[in-house]
Amino acid sequence: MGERPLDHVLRHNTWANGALIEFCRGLDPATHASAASPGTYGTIEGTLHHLIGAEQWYTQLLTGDLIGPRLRRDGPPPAIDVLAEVAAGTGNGILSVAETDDPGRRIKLNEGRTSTVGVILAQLVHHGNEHRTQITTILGANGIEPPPLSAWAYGRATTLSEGTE
Amino acid sequence: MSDLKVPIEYDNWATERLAQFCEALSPDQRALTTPGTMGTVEATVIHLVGAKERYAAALRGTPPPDDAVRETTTKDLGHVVARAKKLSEWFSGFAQGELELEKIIERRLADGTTQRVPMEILLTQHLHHGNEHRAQLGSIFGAHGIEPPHFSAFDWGRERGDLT
Repeated sequence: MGERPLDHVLRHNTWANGALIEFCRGLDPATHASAASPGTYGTIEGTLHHLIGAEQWYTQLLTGDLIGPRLRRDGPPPAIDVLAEVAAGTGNGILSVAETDDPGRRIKLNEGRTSTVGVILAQLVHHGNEHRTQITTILGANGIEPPPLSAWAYGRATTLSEGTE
Repeated sequence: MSDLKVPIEYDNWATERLAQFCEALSPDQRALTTPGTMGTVEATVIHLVGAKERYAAALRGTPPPDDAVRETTTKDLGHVVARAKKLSEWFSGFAQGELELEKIIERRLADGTTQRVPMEILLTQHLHHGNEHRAQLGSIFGAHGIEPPHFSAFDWGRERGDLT
């Protein structure tokens, strides 16, 4: 395959975001907008907004490119189609970073802060898994079987592996 | 050095930090849970480290050691902390080398059967699994008003001086 080692971690992230967005597209609108569970970030809708908005920001930090309409933290919840478009675009953008960038390169953040590229990639992976888990927690707490989002599920979906939980 | 070293080192740090935090909780706090997660604090942290034992064993090609954390027998969270540290050392050394990502790894399941999976998928699952169950612990703590330790990759980066 010839990818960089991090590629499948990032591809899994993009795949899982897409799978979760498509699952949420099929939810009852009231569940999507209002269901929550103690200890999580908020509603499903709010968590998806935050998750994809953050990935848009991480990607812009690393590439300088804003992919899709800016998902403002204090703005209205984006339509599912917009989330899907931004998630797919940032997924491709971040893959290019992993293929060509140096994890040790230091970049400027806001307010005079700096970070290595590697830490931002690790944060993107952590952040994605964290908030997808919060959404599956909300689904489970509301009696809805969540979609499979593990890397085993990614391996099966891409026919790279037949591994199971 | 593999570029997987960064998320692997982050996983080591975050898992150790959560295990230490859980060890310091009272028995009543360890028994807390919240709907939609896998179970109690104690069961989740034991599973988190127990699964890491099995990922390491599969990558080494040897069974987990006798003192490995196991969901069926481990009760002592002090031992979980100690094993998390040992596993961090192992994964750090592993990530330093050239990784044979397409190598097929044999993985032994609980029912005694064996699965063959590419190393790159096993490593992706390892990283996903750690983040997933640490997030569940964060939800349990939040649901019960317990301030969890900061364990994002940005927190890790700040502690290392990689993020200023």
